[in-house]
Amino acid sequence: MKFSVLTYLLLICAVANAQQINDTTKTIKRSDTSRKVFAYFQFSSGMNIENSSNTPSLPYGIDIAQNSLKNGYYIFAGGSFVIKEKTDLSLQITFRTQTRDNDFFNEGFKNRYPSEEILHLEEMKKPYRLGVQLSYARIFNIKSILLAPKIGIGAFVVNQVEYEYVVRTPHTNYFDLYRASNNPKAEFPVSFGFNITHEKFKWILFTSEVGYSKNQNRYSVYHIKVDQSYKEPPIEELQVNHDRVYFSFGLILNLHIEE
Amino acid sequence: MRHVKLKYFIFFLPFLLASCHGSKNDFSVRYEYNGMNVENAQNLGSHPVPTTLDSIPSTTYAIRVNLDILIHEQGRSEADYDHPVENKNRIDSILVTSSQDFDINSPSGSSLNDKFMCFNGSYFSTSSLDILKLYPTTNNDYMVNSVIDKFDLLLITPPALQSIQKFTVQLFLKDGTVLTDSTNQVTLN
Repeated sequence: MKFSVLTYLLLICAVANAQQINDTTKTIKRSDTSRKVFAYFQFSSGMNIENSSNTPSLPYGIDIAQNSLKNGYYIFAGGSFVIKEKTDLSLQITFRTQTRDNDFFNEGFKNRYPSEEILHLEEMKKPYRLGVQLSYARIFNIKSILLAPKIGIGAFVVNQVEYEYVVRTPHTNYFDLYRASNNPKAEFPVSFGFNITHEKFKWILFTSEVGYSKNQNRYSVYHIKVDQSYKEPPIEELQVNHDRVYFSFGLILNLHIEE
Repeated sequence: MRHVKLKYFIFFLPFLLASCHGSKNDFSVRYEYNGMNVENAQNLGSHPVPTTLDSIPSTTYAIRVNLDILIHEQGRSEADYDHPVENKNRIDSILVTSSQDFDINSPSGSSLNDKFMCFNGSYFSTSSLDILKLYPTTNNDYMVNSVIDKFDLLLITPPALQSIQKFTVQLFLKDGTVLTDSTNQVTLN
């Protein structure tokens, strides 16, 4: 689904920009020197690479769940104000994802319970972050190349992630079902990076940034008995913290907003 | 406005396509239960398998319940959440008894529901017999085994001593029908 959303966004931007490039060119030819602020809609997508958690051994496979997370992608949409062609202030709504290494996850549990049979639910939630990010960039024109180092700060919510697994005494009717649920706290990442483009192609930029945030996870583990309500008290509650560093890169499509 | 700009048309196109979703009356299958048979089973692998053995370890014993299906109508759609199956006489409750004394607290003919667990194809899909939950399993929003034609009863509280049992299963359906059948005699060791 993520690629169809990206394709749709790219299509509408390409069509909108195709209609606007001629208008923008006419605006430039009139050399409106009184124009100080340019506004843009921005859409972007790219890779989201995150550092490994390296959580030490914890009960109920919580460390396995933490350490099995891999890279994902990001999408953002927002607005940008370019002031006097020197300063860029932007506000974006950003969606970042991670994927899960299922082989690492399954092998980890098998090694944790070597004498028992482990079964997993096929569908397992993957983590994502949704929030807003405010960025400030300084634009330098170096031989028609527009280079804009930037810094940013954001506020993100992280979705609840959970997994279930069964520990069965092999070749018998006896088994235990566990569900671990993670309710992470909100994150406030800080980031720095750069955008780069050519002044003739301001409608598309390459962007890259590195960010840091404190990832705080609150795990609750439930031993699900037959007909037991999910709202029974958990059998274990753990806080797992992680210094999260991410690196992302992608393309930004700039849609100039005409007055 | 005589002409719609292309960018607006492309913007609204996904919403137009999403609205073409089919009517609420679409269905996949309408059926009813019109019979049942039960057999002894053994749970050595990933799920119970019927067996003709007359001696089975109690830690692996299960009862396979097979349901006879009468399909009234078959719709055009695959079974999913928008096109559910329709069962005219759903199972209301179940009762398991034995012709022999099961243990000191469970004489012949008494309810043995608390000794068994309902297994519906997966260890993530189980329920007690007193609060029976039988739902189609799903795979990517499509219902795998949308018409439930069998399920298993796992013995989770075996008798203290080896004993010979012959279990009777009664299914009480919502339309008042009662389906009954008994297993072959089996030694639980």
